[in-house]
Amino acid sequence: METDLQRIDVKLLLDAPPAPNLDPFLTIFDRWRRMEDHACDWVDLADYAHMAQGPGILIAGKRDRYAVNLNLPGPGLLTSTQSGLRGSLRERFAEALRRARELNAALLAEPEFPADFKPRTGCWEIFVNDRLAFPNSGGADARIRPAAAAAFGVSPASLARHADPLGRLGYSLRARRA
Amino acid sequence: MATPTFAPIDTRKTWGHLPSGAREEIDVFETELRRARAGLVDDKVFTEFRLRHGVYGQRQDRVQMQRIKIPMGMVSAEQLTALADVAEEYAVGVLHVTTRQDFQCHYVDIGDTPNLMRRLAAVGVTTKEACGNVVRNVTACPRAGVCADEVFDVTPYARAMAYFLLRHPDAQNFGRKFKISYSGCAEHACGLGRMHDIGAIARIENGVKGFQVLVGGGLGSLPHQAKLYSDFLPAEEMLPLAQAISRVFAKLGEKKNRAKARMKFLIAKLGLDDFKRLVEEERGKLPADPRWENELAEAMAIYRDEPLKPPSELELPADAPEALRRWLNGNVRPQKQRGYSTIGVMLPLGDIASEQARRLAQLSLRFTTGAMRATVDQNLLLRWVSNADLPALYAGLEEIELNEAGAGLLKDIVACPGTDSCKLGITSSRGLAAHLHRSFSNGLSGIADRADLSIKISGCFNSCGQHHIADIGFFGSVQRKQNHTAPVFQLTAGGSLRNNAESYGLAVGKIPSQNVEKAAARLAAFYSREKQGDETFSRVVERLGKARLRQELEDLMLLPTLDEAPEFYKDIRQPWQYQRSIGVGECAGEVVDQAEFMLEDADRIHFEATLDLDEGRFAEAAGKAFEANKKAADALLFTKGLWLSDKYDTVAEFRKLFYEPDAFYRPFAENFFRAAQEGATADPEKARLRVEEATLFIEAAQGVYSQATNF
Repeated sequence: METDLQRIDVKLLLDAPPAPNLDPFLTIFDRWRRMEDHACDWVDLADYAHMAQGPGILIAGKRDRYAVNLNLPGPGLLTSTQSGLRGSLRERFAEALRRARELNAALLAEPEFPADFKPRTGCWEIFVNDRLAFPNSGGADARIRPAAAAAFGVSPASLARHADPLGRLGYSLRARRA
Repeated sequence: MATPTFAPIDTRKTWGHLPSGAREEIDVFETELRRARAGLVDDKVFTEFRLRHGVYGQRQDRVQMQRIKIPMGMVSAEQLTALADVAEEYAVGVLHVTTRQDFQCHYVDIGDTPNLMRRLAAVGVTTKEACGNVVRNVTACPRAGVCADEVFDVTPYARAMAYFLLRHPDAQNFGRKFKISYSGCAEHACGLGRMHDIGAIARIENGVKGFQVLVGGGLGSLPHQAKLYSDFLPAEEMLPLAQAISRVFAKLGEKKNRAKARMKFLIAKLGLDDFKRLVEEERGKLPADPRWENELAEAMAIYRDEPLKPPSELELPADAPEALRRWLNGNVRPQKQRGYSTIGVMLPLGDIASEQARRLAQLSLRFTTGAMRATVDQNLLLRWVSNADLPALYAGLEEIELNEAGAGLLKDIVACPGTDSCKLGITSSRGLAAHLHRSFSNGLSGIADRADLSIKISGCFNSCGQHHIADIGFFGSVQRKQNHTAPVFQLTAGGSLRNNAESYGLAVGKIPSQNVEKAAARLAAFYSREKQGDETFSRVVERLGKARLRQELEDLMLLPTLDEAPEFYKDIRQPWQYQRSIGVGECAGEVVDQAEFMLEDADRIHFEATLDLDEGRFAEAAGKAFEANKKAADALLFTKGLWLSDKYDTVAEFRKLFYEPDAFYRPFAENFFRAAQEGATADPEKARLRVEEATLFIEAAQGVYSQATNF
């Protein structure tokens, strides 16, 4: 039986100006949080734009959290799944990526989305946000890597595992397509 | 047989490496959580129960804030790393440092809290009694031990107090929270003793270490300055005194009207002399407790405060960057130990990202032993940095973008969560603080680095942002004009951090949120213009009067109509129409009598006994049935004024106070007495009988309690 992995972080990197102005996302996420019956089950938005690194502007939901995130290696659109993933690890990563793409597409279509923020197509950061079930170890890497790679349609070798042993199990993907 | 969904949690297999007491406590928490979800626990009892584990309901539906208790703000690199990890996985990847030197995580799902607690317990951190009507985090000067001004290092004394009162039975039946602080000196701000229920300020008399003791201080909507209880109390008397005060507060403190339930109101009602007399009587009655000495001895034994590297001097090259110089001026203070400095790591609004926290922990191990302290200014303090290492440390902080200069200066604003997450919030205190923080790098850069002014912001009148003790304080309010409601901030001026928060500011007038930035700039200019010699801001306000100050700001106090200026009807950093929305806050907790908790415990333990019985564990079933019985008996004895710390004989006292006066159904009581006499048993029939008898006893106890309390 697969471990019940629910927390996967998928971040699409952005090209953005230094010290980017995140204020437009307050307006956008304010609109989003009022959407009733949205699949993400929005709870509220949170403003962390005062931090040099961190979640930036975030909208928290019971199913997913979504943020214009400022953590290293740089700004990006971060989808953090919280619940509702089912099936094999591969299916769970595929679902996480599907949700991320859906949310990214919705955000990019918003009229207030800043013109100087450009998605870096194919540049993703992927994290397994569950150290109890999947510590940052070789064993967990062996289980996760093929599933994550399959979801993104790339070879397992395309995923560069993050070097920091104290961080979560995470990968960088720099692909043309993905 | 299928296991019931609310069967007791037992994590010996998976979390066996935790200290057994901590593990069992968290297992009970998870069991109660499941029982509450199954509707088996009264909502009010569970709310106070979870609060006592630091789990606090946010303004937003279905999410919690987890408060984590860090006595004296002392956090090791290993602990900071664990805190960063749980914030990343169970919250939004941000750790928030509070004005009580705690840490908080927001947007936590309550279902994740047991594992969050276990992971912190693995590094010696507890969330127990972080919220609720209990003794909150004991605070102390973050520079204790290295400060040139201190009388002596208060750290071990504060630690002894924190762990002595944690889970202490005499500190479980308060009507409101209870706060204690330790200061190393009388003059400086770090300990803020005058705004605490007990403020202890270090003194030495005739070579004996002790404390000046202040009691009954507190902020909140009606702030009180603490009163002098004793000019000098020997250090070894502090724990018994605190225990005696706890008992008086628990017995006589207000329980129904929560707005009047802090100890400051009890002292105001009784008068200090009567309060002292009652405390001294209680102190005289306390049975001697070896923990009074042992806690301090243990705190002394485990306390290590030492450098990693030898002392050195900083030789700054002539071409050192300006940013480094500003940071050295603003954030670095020499220790009393020559060759070492403390470093204030400025956290905007008290926030640090998980990734930053992990890397800061690594940095602390490179330059120090990794022992850091959270400060009441919502920053982190590194200690024992050898001076020659300062440029390299700065470079390390720059890499993780924690090198902002100005810790402790005007730009370093303290703010409570406000409407971002608190149910009581009226305005966005964090939005205002973030806006001012940004302005200090831009329009207000001329005043950002002033050391002679402070700003503190609360989202409502309750003063969690400590606006009363700032030179310039703001608290959230509203103003109506032509049927539209605008967010405004009430300005308080004249508070002082000096002399352990010697004076509280008074309200000057309401300023629309959108004008607060201008008001702050104008107040700074006013102070520069009017200051005589080294007068503090509070002295200037006192000399010139509030009317003069108000005159200075009069035009900024005017609220335009919605048609004239619609932006005034939006809160800061909130581009939507303002709506006042206040829920029921959890700061005050729920007033749950200790007896109610004990009866709930009895119920839970009894249920565990029935499961043991079903599984054929007869000795365990009989043992737990008796334990549940005893717990219910203790609950009733508590209502008669017997405290668990009195270490009385439950059976004898129950016989005297309930059986003999015929205040409890005699056959059920006799079953209890018989079980006590027979002792342990593994006999299946007897075990079954004990469980059944316990059912009846607990039911009867609940009936007696209900009658006694008129429910």
